[in-house]
Amino acid sequence: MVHHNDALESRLYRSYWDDGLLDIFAGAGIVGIGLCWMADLIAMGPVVPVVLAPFWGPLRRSLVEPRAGLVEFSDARSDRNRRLGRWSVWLGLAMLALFTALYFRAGPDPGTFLPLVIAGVPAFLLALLAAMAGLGLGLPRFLGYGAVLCVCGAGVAVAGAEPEVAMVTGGVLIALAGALLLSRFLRMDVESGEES
Amino acid sequence: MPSPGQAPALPDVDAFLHELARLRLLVLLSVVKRADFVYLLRQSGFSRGNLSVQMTKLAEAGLVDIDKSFVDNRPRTAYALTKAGRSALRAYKVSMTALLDALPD
Repeated sequence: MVHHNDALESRLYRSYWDDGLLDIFAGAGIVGIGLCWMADLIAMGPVVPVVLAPFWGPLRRSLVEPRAGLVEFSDARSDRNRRLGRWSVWLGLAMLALFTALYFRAGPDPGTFLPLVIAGVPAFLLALLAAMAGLGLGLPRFLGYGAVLCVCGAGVAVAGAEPEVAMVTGGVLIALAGALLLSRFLRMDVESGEES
Repeated sequence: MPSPGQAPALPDVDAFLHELARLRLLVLLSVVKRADFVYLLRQSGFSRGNLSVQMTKLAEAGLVDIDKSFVDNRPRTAYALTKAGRSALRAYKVSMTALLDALPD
């Protein structure tokens, strides 16, 4: 019986992510993938989330849970997140396929516009993921992160820089925003625990 | 006063649930699967003492399940609404809605 008060549940769910740890992980992940690309180790990109994942639980348990407590949301919420995750992947793949098709359709002389846009594609794809996460988690700041990544992608396209520059720049900005949120969370919330 | 055998004109409201602190905690628990003491403390804004007393009363009334454990050598008490708790909350909502609907505009 969770449907009777969706507004309250949504508010609680949003506040669950207010500590900024998710933002730091998202930013660090994007920076990591960008750095792998810069070092010509693009194949190592998918390893970055795998390397980061084990830190999530311990950091959340040691920094966030003593202050914010622990809550389990409804199965309906988990199902919704899974559905949104699947949609994000499909949408990302569709966008990637569209850009690839455009690139190859342009033939040997794609002009100047298309290659420029292609340079921004990784950042645009990440912007899409950030926007989907923002919609799914109900966090408007992730829509902002999407906009930041779009700007970085467009900046790289205009400047004729490499795509990974947009990823590293955008990732650093997102991680910094997360660090600000986390420092505010740690300052505002005196560790409470059950015993104190 | 209704005569014997006659139903009261006003709906019967559960006075135990009508206590604001308990009601707020039950509403919080009704929208999540389960939550621990610290989470309820933070979201309700109650003092530790008040929260502890109210949760004990809710558990004694069978409206809330308590699960005590240790995580990283720290005690953790998690609470979840029972089926009886959900039914009681639903009945409370119906009776309160009926009562408030009887108010003239």
